[in-house]
Amino acid sequence: MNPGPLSCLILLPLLGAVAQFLPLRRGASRGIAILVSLLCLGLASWCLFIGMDPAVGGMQFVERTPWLPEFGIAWLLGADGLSLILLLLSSLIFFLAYLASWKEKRTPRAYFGLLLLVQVGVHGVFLSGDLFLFFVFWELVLLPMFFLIGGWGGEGRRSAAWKFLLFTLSGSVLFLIALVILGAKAGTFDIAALRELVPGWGGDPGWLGISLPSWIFGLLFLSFAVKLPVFPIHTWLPAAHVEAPTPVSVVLAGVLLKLGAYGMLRVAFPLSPGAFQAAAGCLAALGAFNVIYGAWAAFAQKDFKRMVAYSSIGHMGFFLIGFSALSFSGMAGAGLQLFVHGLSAGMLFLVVGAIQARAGHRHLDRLGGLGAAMPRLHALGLVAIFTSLGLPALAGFPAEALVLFGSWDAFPVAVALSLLGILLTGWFLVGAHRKAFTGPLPRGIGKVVDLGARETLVLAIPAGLCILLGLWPALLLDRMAATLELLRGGFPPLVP
Amino acid sequence: MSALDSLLWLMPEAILALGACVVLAWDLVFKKARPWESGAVGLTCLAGASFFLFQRLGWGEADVLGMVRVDFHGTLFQLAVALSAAAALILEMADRHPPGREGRTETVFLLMAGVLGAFFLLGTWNLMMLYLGFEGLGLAVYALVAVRKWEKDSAEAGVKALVYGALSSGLMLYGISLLYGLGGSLDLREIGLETARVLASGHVVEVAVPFLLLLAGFGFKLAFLPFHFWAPDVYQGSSTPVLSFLAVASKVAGAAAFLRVLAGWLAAGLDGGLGEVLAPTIWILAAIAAATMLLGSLAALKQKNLHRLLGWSSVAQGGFFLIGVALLGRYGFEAASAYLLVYGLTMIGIVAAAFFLSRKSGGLQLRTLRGLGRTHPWVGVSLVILLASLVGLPPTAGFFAKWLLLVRAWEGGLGWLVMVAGLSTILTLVYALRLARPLFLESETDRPSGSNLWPVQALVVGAAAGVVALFHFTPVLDLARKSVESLRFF
Repeated sequence: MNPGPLSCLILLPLLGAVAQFLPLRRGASRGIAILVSLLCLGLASWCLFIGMDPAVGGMQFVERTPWLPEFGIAWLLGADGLSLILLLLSSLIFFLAYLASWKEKRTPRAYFGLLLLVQVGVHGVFLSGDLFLFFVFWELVLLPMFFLIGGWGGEGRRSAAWKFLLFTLSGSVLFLIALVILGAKAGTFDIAALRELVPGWGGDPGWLGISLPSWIFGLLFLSFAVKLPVFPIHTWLPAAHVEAPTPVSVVLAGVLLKLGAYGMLRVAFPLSPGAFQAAAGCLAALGAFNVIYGAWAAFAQKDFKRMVAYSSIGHMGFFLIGFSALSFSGMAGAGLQLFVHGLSAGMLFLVVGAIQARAGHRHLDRLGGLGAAMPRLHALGLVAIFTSLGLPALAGFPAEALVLFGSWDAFPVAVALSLLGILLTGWFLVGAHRKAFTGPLPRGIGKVVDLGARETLVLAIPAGLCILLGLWPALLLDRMAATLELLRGGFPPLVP
Repeated sequence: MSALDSLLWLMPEAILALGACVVLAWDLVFKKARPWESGAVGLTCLAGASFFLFQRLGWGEADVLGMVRVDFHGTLFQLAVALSAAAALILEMADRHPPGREGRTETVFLLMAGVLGAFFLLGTWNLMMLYLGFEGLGLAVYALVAVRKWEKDSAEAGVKALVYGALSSGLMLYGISLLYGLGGSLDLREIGLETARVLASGHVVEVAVPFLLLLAGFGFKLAFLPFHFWAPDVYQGSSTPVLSFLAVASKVAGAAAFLRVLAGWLAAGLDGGLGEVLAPTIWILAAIAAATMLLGSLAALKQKNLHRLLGWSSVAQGGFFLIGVALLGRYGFEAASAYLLVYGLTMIGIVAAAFFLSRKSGGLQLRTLRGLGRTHPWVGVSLVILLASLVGLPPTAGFFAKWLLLVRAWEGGLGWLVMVAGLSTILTLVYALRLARPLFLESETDRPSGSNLWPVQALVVGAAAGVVALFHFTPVLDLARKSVESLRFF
C-alpha cells in the first residue's frame, strides 16, 4: 500500500497520538500536536484548493486496499467537495484547539494524545468511502471524548461525560444494527455500491410492516440525529459542551456536530432516497423546531457558555431544513452552514473561555464592561456574534440566506418559522453582548488583561475566514457545487 | 496405528500428565525447593504441550486408541486452553502467598490436572471420555477455588462450586446414559445418526430429554441462565489467578466441547433431519442467550467487587457466545468459535490487569483502584483497549467477533436477538467504564509501592496489542472456519 494524501491525513494524527507515549520533555506534547495539525491543515488545503478537480462531483484521491474481502470490507478512502470542505474545517479547528490548549498543565500527554485520537476519528469519518470503515472511525471518537470531558471538564464533568457517552453509544448501537443488516444482506460496504443496492430492497417485506430501506434509513438517521443533535435527543449537548474545557468545547461544537450532519448527507439520506423523501417534510419541521427551540432555550440562559451551546442546536436546524428541501441552493446553504457554524460556534466558545479565564465565572448577569477593558476580545467577539446571528457581509449570512431561499418553495411554513428563530437568535446574542461588554466593570472583577498574542491569533484566524467567506462565499461554494449536483441527482426533486 | 504412533499423537497429553506428576513430587523430593520452582516446571510443561499442539494443528485428523479424537477443532481449543492456563500460572507465580501459608505447588498441580481434563474433554467423540474430561476439569476447579484454606470466602466458594458442579455433572451423566440407551453406542457420531432416525419416526421426547439434560450440564459449566447462580459467588471467592483459569481456560474448554457435542450429535439432523424440532430448539437456545446477556450485564452494573464484576461479565459474554450456538448451523458455529477465541484473549488480558491493579491497590473493591491508571499508564491504557474489545468497540478484535455473531443472527432470522444484543452492548460499555473511569479520572490515594510485576504487565500489554492486531480479523476467521469444518464428519 502506497499511502496517498488521504491516508496521510489519518495517519499523521495517529502517529502524533502514539508519539505521546514516548518519554517527552515538558511542552513537547503540544508541539507535536500543533505540528501534526499544521501538516494536516496544509494537506487538506492543498487537496481542496489545488489537488481536486472542482468539475468532478464524485470521489477523488481514491485509495482502496482489501481488508476482509469476503464481507466486502475494504480500506476505501475518497474525498469529494463536501468532505474536503469539512476536512479543512476540522483540521483548522483542531489546530486552533491545540493552540488554545497551550497552557494545559494537567497531564498534557494524555490530553493531547486523546485529542489527537479524536482527530484521527473525525478525519477518518470524513474520508471513508466504506461504511464499515466509517463506523470504525465513528466509534474511535467515543472513548477519547468521554475521557476528555470526564477528566478535564468543569464541576459537573462526571454526569456530563456519562450523558455524552450513553447518548452517543445508543446512537452507535443503532448504527451497528444497520451495519449488521447490511452485512447480512449486501455483501459490500462500499457506500457508492450500497447506494445502488439498498433502494432495490423496497420489495422486501422487512420487519413489522416497515420495508428494509426504511428500517435502514430510520436506524441511521436516529444514530446521526443524536450527534447533530435533533430535538428531543439533544439533551447530552448542553451538559457536554458546558462542562468540557474550552478547547474541547470548540472541537465538540466545531467538528463533532458535523459528523452527524455528514453521516446524514453521505449515508442515511442517499442509501434510502425513498424513505428520505417520504420523511422530508417531517425533517424540515424538525429542523424548524430545532431552530426555534435552540434559540428559545438559549434565550433563557444566564450562563454564557450554556447559551452558546443551545445556539448550536438552532444552527444545526438550518442544515436539516436546507438539506431536506433538495434544491441546489438549499443544499449549498446547508453545506456552507456546517462550515460557518464550525467557525462561529468555535469562536464563541473561545470568547467565553477567555472571559471565564479573566472574570472567574461566565454568569451574564454578573459580567459587564469588558468591551472597554479588552478591546481586542471585543472586536473579535463581535465578529463571532454577528456571524452567528447572520449579519450580511459575514459568513453566516450567505449560509442562512441560501437555506431560506432554497427551501421556500418546498417548505414555506418551516422557513417562516425559522425566520422567527433568526430573530430570537439576534435578540439573545445582542443581549449577551450588551451584558458582557458594555456598561461599567462589576466590582467583583479586578484588573483584566486583554488577549495575548497567542489568544488573538486563535480568534483572528476564524474571524478573518468569516469575513472572507461573507464577502466571497463562492470560494467554498464552487468547490462543492459539482458534488451537490451529483448528490441531488440521486433524489427525484420534491418540487418540480 | 501402533502404540508408538499413538503416543506421538498424544504427546501433549503425555507431557502434561508426566509434568503434573513431577510437580506433585517436586516439593517432596527437593526439600529446599523455592516456591517458584514448581511453577516453572508447570510453565515448561505447558510450553512443551503447546509446542506439540501447534505441530498437531497441521497433522490432520485421527482416531487414537478408539477413544481420543484428534482434529483441528480439538487441537485449536486445546492450544487456547493451554495458553490461557499458562497465563493463569504466570499470575499465580507473581502472586504472593501470606508467609507460612503454602499451597503454591498444589495450585500448579491442580491447574495442570485441569488442563489435562480439558484436553480430554475437547478431543473426543466418545461420551465416556467426554464425561471423564468434564469431571477432571470440574474436580480440579473445585479444589482450585478452595485452595486458599485460610480464607473463609475461598472455602465457601469451593463448597458452592462443588455442590453445583456435582449436580450438573450428575444431570449430564443421566443425559449420557439416556443417549446410550437411544443410540446403543457411546460414539456421538453414531448416536447422531440414530437420533436423526428416531426423530424422523416422530419420537421427540426421547431426544428432547437428553438434550435438555446435556444443556443443563453444560449450562452449569458455562453459567448460562438459569444455571448461573454459582458463578459470581465462586468468582468472588477464588484468587485472581484461579479466576483467570475459571473465566478463560475452563470456560473456553466447556464452550468448545459444547459446540462439538451439538455438532456431532445434531450433524446428521442439521441438514434438514431435525425437521420440526429445529425451530423450538433454536428458540430455546436463543431465549437463553438473550436472558443470559441481559441479566449478566444488568447485574454487572451494580457490582462493587472486581471479581464479582468479572463473574457477571463472564456470564454475559457466555450469552453472546450462545447466539452463535443457537443458530445451529455452520456459520453460527463459526462465529461462535471466533468469538470464543477473541473472548479468551481479551479476558486473559483483563484478568491479568485486574490482578495487577488489585495487587497494587491492595483491595478488590472498585473504589480502591482510583488513580492507578495515571501511575501505571501502560496497564491502564491496555486495560481500556481490552475493555473496548470486551464491549465490541473498534478498532479491536472484539468488535469484529461481535459484529460477525450479529450478522449471522440476522441472517438466521433472529432479528430480535440482534436488538437484545445491542442493548446488552450498551450495558457492557457502562460497566466496563465503571471499571476504567476511576483509574484515570479520580485522584490517587497513598499506597505503598510493591514489586513491579513485570511479567503481568507484559501479559496485559501483550493481550491488548493482540486484540488490536487482530482487528485484521482474517486469521481468526480462518481458524474458526477450519475448526468448524473439522467437526463435520459426514
